[in-house]
Amino acid sequence: MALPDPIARLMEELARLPGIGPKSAQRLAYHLLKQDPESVRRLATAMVEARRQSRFCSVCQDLTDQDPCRICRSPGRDASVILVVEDPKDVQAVERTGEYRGLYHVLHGAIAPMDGVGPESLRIAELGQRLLQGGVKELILATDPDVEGDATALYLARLYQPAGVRVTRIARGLPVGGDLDYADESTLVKALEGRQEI
Amino acid sequence: MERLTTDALVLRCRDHGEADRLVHLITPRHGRIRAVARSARRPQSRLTGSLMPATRSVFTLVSGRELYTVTGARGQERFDRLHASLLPMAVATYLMEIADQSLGERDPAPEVYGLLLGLLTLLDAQRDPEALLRAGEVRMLALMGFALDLHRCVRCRGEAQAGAGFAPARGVLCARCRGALAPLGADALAALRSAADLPLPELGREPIPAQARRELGTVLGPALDQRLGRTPRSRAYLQQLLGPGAQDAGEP
Repeated sequence: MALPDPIARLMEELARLPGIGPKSAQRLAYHLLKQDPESVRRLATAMVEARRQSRFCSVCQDLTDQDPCRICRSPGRDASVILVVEDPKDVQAVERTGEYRGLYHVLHGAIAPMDGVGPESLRIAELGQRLLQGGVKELILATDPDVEGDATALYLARLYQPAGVRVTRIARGLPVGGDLDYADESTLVKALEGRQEI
Repeated sequence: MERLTTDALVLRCRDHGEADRLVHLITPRHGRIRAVARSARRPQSRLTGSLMPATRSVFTLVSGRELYTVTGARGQERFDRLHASLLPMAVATYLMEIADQSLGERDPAPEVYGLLLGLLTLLDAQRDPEALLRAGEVRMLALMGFALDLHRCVRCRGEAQAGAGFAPARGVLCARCRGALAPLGADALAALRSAADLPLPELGREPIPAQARRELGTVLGPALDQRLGRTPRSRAYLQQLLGPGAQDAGEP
């Protein structure tokens, strides 16, 4: 039996979201239809408002509702250190540690040649502009520890090391609370390479 | 349901679903295989390191309706130096894309597997990446069934020497037959012949001279595009790295 048009359309839209297949879209749609109209309206408003009010910070390229963003405006942050990440979600992950006091730069992706994503597709020019303004002593490259993230880090290091900026890469190795026996060989090798005196 | 344990090189790896990864593998006896590694994006997954492109592992796979499922992987060669070098990794990515595009699913391709493994090994050993790139292009074309004639003019069969031209789909044209085609210098011609003829372990010992590098920059691409029916997407990035001054791009 064909679904009523509005429900079919809702499922179609939900199925466009990342990680949501047709089955999950159906489950979410029926969940929404069971809710009272006011809570559905709140959800719809939150989505529309988040999209309407969000823009990219003109300095760090993170998502923000104010330009420059709160982190870039904060006088308590160390402006001589920039941590470079692939995605706005990565900024939130580092902020949750409460340990990092420098600024960020979001590239919005990583170099993925087979997908046709080259350096020109990323916010690298904007990072160059920030460095040209001076005052930056260290770039911490925190791109993902995979082939694309490594290629991006190598590319940035080649670009900015000659400019006299200290370029570092975040360490990689065993997860805290992890079990050595369950680590794969590549991770163990990286952990051994990055060992420190205690 | 077929269970398979095989040596394989990872050609490509991308996110799939909520926490899985989809890998494209090339194996010696089973050709190109696509397989899903369930939960491989979770930090506790033991598969992560073996799914990195340009690594060799022994995979245990179980066949499904469309895709295989990875049930285990034991790393064999990680090619760490290759992964830590910008231009060699771009060359490896480009050659792996050509292999990925040119092979059918499960068509045995032991020669392509051997060629790729050999080239990755040499790239990891820091041999000249551009010499290995040209060797990879010429030899992949030959393995696709389109070996280039680089010694005799493909039109008059006369000997081709410096000043010869390059006809994309076939090979070299002597100075008399090349017409308006750009001439290749002696170094470029020698580099092309070395790319095709040298035994694999000897490739990339000598860097290609700068002028010859410029001449060879565009001659092989059109031949590959014609055979593949498309331009490999990773070529644009590779050409960017190979641009002026790119010879120093091996290590950032």
